[in-house]
Amino acid sequence: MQADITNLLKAWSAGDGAALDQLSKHVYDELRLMARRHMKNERKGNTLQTTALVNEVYLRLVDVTKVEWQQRSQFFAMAAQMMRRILVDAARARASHKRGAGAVHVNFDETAVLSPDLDRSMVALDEALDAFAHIAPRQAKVVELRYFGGLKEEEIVEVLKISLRTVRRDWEFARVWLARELDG
Amino acid sequence: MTPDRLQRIEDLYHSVREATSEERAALLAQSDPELRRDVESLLERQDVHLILDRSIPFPGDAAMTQVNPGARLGPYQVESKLGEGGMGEVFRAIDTRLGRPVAIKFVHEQFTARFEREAHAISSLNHPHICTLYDVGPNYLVMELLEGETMAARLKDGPLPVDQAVRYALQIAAALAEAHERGIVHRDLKPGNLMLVKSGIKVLDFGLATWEGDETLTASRMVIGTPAYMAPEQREGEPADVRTDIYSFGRIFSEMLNGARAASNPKPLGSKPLEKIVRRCLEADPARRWQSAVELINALEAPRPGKRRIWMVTAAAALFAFLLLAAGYVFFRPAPKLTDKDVIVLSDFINETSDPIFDGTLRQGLIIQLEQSPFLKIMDAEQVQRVLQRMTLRPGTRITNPIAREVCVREGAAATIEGAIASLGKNYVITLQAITCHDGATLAREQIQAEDKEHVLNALSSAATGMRGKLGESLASIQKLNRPLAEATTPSMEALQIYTAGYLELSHGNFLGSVPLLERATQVDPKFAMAYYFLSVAADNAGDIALRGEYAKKAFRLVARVSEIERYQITSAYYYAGTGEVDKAIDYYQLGIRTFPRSWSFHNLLSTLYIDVGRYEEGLKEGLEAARLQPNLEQPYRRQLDAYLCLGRFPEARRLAEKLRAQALGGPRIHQRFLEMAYLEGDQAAIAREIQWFAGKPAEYISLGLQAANLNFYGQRRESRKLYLRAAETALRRELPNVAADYEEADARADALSGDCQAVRRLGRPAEMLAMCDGVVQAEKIAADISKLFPNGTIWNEVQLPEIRAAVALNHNQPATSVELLASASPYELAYLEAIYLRGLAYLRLHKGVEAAAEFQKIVDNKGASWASLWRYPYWGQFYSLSYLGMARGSMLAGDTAKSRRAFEDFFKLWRDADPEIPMLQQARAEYRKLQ
Repeated sequence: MQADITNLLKAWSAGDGAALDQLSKHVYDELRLMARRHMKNERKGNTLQTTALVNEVYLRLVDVTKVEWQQRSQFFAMAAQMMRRILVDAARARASHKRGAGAVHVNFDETAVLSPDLDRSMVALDEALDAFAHIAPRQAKVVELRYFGGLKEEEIVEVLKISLRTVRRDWEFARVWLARELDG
Repeated sequence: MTPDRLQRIEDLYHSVREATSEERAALLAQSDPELRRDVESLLERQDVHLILDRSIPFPGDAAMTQVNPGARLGPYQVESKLGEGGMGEVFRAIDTRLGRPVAIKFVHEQFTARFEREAHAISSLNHPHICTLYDVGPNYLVMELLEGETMAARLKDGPLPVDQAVRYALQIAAALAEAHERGIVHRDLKPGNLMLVKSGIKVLDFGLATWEGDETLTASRMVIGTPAYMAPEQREGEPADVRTDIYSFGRIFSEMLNGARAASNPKPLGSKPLEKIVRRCLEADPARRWQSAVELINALEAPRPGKRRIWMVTAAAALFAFLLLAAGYVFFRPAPKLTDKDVIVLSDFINETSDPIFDGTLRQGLIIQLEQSPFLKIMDAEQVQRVLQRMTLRPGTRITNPIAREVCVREGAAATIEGAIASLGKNYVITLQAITCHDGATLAREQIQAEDKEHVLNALSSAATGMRGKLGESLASIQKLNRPLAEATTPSMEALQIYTAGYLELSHGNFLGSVPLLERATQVDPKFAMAYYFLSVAADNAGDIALRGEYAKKAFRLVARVSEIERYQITSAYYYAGTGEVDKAIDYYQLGIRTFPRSWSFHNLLSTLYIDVGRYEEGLKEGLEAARLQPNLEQPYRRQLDAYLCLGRFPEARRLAEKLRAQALGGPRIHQRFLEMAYLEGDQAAIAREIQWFAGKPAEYISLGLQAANLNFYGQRRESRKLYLRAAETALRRELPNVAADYEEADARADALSGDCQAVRRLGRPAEMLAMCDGVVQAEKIAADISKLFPNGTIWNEVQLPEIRAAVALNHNQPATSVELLASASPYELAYLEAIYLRGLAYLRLHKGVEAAAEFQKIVDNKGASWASLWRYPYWGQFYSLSYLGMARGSMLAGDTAKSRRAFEDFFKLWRDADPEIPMLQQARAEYRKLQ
């Protein structure tokens, strides 16, 4: 398993699109699984952060001794996208559920524990981020990588091939921009 | 907003932010006002804590101690505050997924991971005397909502009567036994944790004392709580075990017997054995206490006043001790939740996935799965529909959990089973929960995860199987009669969904609407046996005998793939409708009755069959039994009415009819019988009332057909023909061509019987009338065709085919052959009066007057059977009137002129207002004149 994923990661890195498809599936499943497990067991005190979660999945799936630094960043970039999807889907489902929409995917475990406020802001953030990506795609990507994927600034530099300064400026601008959009 | 514009905003934002304060003002002043406003509004936010600065909080972060009524907490809608205690606050809330009221207890701090692990074990506790823990949040517990007072409150009023104290003690001990068996120790048993509800004691907060973490379980903390009930070793901070609970139990039991105040200084109890039991609970050394709750139960159960038993160390004594223990254990096992007298109402599943395929489907799947149990009895769809009607809800209303409970209470059922499905990524979680309707107690709960949609039915089957065991069915029974849905009914969710819709239509009486749905289900899953079975039922309702048989055969070919109960249904239907092999059908119905003694349906079907073949007494017996098992549906009463009428037991039929009317029980098929009875008894008011009942209803064709048949009785063919025509038209409008064809045929038959063959020749049927009207070749062709359909059909080969052949023989002027041919019909002839009539005609032709008169007499003597034997052919009344004529002719041949004259006169009296042009009437008048 670990060897397979590692190879897929390498193949993708070398430009194999089909490898990405397979890899995405594994990573997505694993992320979901881990997220759920954490939701069940780790409610005490310390918040489980997406960073830790993605990292844990990475360590479980990939043989770290056999991949390059860049490949790790690519993995995290992909995981960030997925994490965003998982979190927003869950929040959207819960938010819809709260409006009384019956036929919405609702995750049993998640439902009980996230506060309503957070659900709404998560969905709103996702929508605002989409809109933002139309006019500022790079900046939006930085947000996704950092916020949902938990990538460090240096890793974002690697993934997006931009300078550290740009990463920092992008983040700073995005956070106020999005905050204003959400307030508006 | 364009990217360019955004770029300008961003550039200015960064410039300003990185600038010194003097530069800032200048930079902003230079910009155009709109850009400036934009950037300023962004700058205002830079030092504020923003959403992106928060890490994404996963569960555990949300501290939710501030909950107020009206708040929504995940699926829980908080309603009102129930109380407050040292540990936190308790609210009443509704679990919106299940529509179930719950109690939510909030504590001031978050639970430890260790506690949460334990909570999983606690939530698996399922016992009538344990308050069920449904869910655990970061800082709250969701529990069964109980109504009653605590034992602590009760004890303030003084001690309990000894019997009651012992009963409660047994219940507490049983709860402890259940929990201890699962390795869960209560740790904080006290009167405040015991609720007195209708069903007895409920022990609260099992194992919850650990939420503070028992590594950190400090004596001080617990002492603040309830030291009086705490075992000495627990007070000293030693780990608690089952014997700790035994100690607390002893304290409580003592208080129940002596009253709260006296307990600290126990005075001698009235009862020595009880005193001894308490004393042994309260031993300071755990090793000297009762070592388990089961032991305690045995002691409590031992007969009082107890004689000292000297235990001999012999095999016999050891065995006896074992048996005693086993008996106590079996008695106090959590097991028997329901009895085989109880009825269960199923709710519609709460579908929390976005996939509508689960709507309705899972409930039907659950019914199919649970119906396999001879132990459980699911309330019939028809009965549920009737209750909905009484609740003034539309038929087909979604059976939400509150509605299910209402139905359960109204009908005196025992429990509801609530179901829910939710998605968990690709996975699905199915939850089943059995709840008593009188006090809302949870009887059993099952939760099973399916890895994907394809496995949902499997998961449902497993959950249902688990439920059967938890509700008290024996393992042996479950093992014998349990087949997973996917193997039994269908593995296809889609097919099940369409089938469910079709089945619902059928159960609402819309058999035509059910056909396209059931057909589609068989297209999705061509091996869906039960879909074919119900297509056969629908065809039967629509009067299409050929199609009914075809579908019954299709279902039977797939019978290897069904559950046991379905197998009996399909197999008996195959023999009944498919091949017409009555004996085999009876065998299978009887097998069904033996295997599923709680199913009314096999009794009902068997009754139908008995009545169809003229075994009215047996039919009545089965109809009575069906009604005993299912008194709320009309089908068993139809059987009883038919049997009473066919047996000529009119007063009983009348009494039953009055009862049904009083209960407002009865659709068209019941009113059809009411109208038949009214005609039989010549009750004009009742006739008018019943005709009025049908007026304008979709089933009015039934009333029109009976009115036409009644006019035949009086020889009024012209009016009768008009009514048959209207009946046929009405049936056609309802898209029932086969029923319409029956009316056409009945009309032609009535003409032929009274000597006019035109209509029969034009129509080309029915075969036996064709034969009598010189259409022998055509009649034989029809007979050959039907023989291909039912080569082994009992009624066909013994009765109907002989009738056609006897008619042909009569036409060929071979009456002796006719009589011979009709011999095989004798056992069934009370339900097939046509055979008797033909035999009478043959004897007349043979100039055997006495024999002929005796045959016609049989028909006259069974007036009820003339009307009621087969609803689909409401033309028997004519045989009755014409039998007087037959008797007159027979008696004349036999030389009994007086008897002949009387019979002629009876006939003319009946046909007083008959159409004068009827050939039979004119002949009869001529014969009568000769007799003078």
